[in-house]
Amino acid sequence: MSKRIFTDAWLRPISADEAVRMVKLVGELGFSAIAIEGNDEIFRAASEAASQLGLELFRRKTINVNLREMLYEELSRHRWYYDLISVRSDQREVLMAALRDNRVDTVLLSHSSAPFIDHHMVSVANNLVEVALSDILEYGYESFYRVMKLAPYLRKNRIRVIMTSGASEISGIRTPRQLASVMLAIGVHPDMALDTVSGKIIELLRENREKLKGLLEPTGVWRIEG
Amino acid sequence: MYGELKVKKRYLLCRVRISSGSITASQLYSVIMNKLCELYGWNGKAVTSLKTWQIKDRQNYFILKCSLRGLPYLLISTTLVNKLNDEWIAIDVLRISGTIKALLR
Repeated sequence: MSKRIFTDAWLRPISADEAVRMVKLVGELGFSAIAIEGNDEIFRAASEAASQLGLELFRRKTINVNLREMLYEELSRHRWYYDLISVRSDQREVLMAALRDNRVDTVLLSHSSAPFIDHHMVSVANNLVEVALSDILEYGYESFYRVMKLAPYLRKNRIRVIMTSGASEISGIRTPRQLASVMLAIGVHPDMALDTVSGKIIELLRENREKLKGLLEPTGVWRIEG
Repeated sequence: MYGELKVKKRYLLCRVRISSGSITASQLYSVIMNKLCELYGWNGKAVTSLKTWQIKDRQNYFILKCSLRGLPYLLISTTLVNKLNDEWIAIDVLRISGTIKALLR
């Protein structure tokens, strides 16, 4: 059995110092890769700390929009600068557009104002659905109820879900097993729950990094240096 | 027949990060039990049958004991604990094992 590469795909430190503290803690708790959201200064500080600890670091952008046109505008502006693009919206129409757009990587569905997932959304979902622990900690039941609605689709492999911490300070960071326990609590098989913090997401992040470097064409063709 | 009567246990090695610096085993027990009750009610508390011990000479390191059936309840409860008397708190589950000996190895 291969070793799992645990990934926390959403850390959003508020300062460079906090970013360094968070990266160190995440490395200590057993994560091998992280995605950071923040400005250049934060990313630079996090990058230095991550390279010392041997962690893979990726850069992430969360697009927060409520109009489809704005979503497309933001995507065309940001897609080729970030390893991971995530969309957060209160509008079902925007979320459906984000779920099927191949420029989007993950769609956040755990915040309290997110619409409930239904079979129409599931039928168009090509991208990963993201659940942030920070939403559950902040909104409590409202958020947890939305996560519970994902369980039947996840159990039948109709959607792919990832679990992230969404932490803005060190108090919001948990171990990989604890992040997976949210999925365990909604009745998902333990292996499937652990898959939400490893596996799919790291493959996607590495693929996106190669695309940004120009080594992988958006169509999936690899460029090999001769 | 006797196998059914035996309740399997799990031991968790935990580290607590708290803004005030330190916490006692009884405080940790009550904060986890409150969260457990909030999420799963009395049934969850009874199924989990939690016990907490502080590790000697190691501040903020604890051993939690629970039933195997209550392990998912305990894991989600420790994950969702984030406040204790207006201070932030985070519980890191570092290791899970069937025996204390293996846990501390």
